[in-house]
Amino acid sequence: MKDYLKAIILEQIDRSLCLKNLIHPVKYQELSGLAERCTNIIDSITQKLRSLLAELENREEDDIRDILRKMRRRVREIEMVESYGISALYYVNDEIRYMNNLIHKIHNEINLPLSRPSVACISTRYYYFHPFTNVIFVPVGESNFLLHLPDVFHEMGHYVLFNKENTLRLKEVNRRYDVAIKKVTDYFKDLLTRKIRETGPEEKPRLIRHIHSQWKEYWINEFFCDLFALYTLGPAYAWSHLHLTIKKSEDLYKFSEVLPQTHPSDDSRMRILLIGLHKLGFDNEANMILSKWNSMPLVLNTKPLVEYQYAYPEELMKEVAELFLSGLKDGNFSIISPTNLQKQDSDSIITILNEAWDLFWNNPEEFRNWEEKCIEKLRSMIQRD
Amino acid sequence: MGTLGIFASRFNVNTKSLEAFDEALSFLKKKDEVARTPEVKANVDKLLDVLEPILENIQGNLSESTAVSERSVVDIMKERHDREWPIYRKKLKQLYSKLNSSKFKLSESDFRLLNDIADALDVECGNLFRRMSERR
Repeated sequence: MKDYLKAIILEQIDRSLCLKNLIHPVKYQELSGLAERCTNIIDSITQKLRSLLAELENREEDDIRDILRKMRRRVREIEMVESYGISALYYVNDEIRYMNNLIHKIHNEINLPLSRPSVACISTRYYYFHPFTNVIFVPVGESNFLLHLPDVFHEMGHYVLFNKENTLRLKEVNRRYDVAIKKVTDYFKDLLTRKIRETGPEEKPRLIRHIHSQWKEYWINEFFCDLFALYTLGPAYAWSHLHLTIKKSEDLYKFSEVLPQTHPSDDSRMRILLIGLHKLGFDNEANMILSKWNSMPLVLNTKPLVEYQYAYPEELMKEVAELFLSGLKDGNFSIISPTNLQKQDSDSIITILNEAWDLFWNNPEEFRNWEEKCIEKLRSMIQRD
Repeated sequence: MGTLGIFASRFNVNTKSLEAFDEALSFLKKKDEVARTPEVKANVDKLLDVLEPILENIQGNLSESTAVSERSVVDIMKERHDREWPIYRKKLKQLYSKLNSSKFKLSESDFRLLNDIADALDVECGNLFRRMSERR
């Protein structure tokens, strides 16, 4: 087995070196940051694999369990840098320049204390961020539209979350995040104690443990990113959530008592966004969004499962929304309010995305014309900068 | 964020914990009897970061730790040690107490147990990695 492991490690070193060879030449200067990151990742993997070879030499045949685990970790890393880094460098077109510069502008507007993430327009799975390579993936046609662009702010929220422990300016975000986890745990601990005391069905404690685990592993992060987008961009993000929900949601109150659910329900996401809007002082906008939301057939004709009542307690969501707002304020992010939205430059992305939503509702017939002209202007402005 | 990013995030967290766990394991393997020097404490803490939430879960408690996906890791361990689970659970508790004592010596079976935990965590990392690559 030692010899076989050695052969696999050597094979993986060769694969890493081949991938490194694909990085250069970098076709667009906007991607040089990503190229450097991929190079560093591959160098680090190669070095670790070489150390592993040396370690393996000194081991007995029956003492290699940890070596196998380490080798498997490197294999996964190689696959990740290939799929979510090299591919973004390899499949490029002119759109990538516009999108990367757009992200750069947003990065400055919201005062993000991290190096700028890269964008790849090759997603076949809507928007997502990959933490290993710091790339935001967007669908190929997305650069021609504005209404879902607010989702980029949500993805940047994930970037913040990933770096909250190793960036000085994110110290308070990190601290508030830990407090939020503690609040969530305390809330469900209390509920669990009460349910165990009651002589109800045995399933209840299991259900509560399941809900707590969903919050801690997945939902808290999604709520953070939703609120991050809302607090830095404003009502446009809540509108885009409504827009996405009406187009794609299968069940507003999606909930399983046993199966893992990566995203909180669309209903709960809208509820936390409305809480956030009121906190920022966008009361009118919150009322308008709620009124549109409540008139959706999806809302009018569906009721949640009885157990759903335990999943998203209003008080807990309010506390979480407040904690994240304070963390972002202390982290010196540019937080939006009705007053400073009006004070933004007319060519700021934040203004444009909020204006887009106003116009979409007020003059839907004219919207596409306006949107096309706006994007054209944005492209020339971004290229000029 | 699509599910890919969500699984990438959990994968990242669990992998970091496993990496630290393996580092600590290598460090402690070289020691005979272990006294609590700062260096030893730092390494034992890396083991406890993983072991604590697992034990909380086994005892039916809710843990605040986000270091590992303890529910899934426990499920994997249960599956692998189904027949001896009550004894196995007891061994995990004993190991936890040992790691918390001021002076201890890790036996071969302790290291086997620690490797079992690491293997289960590695399987969970593999599961998350697979889900990250799945089309949904």
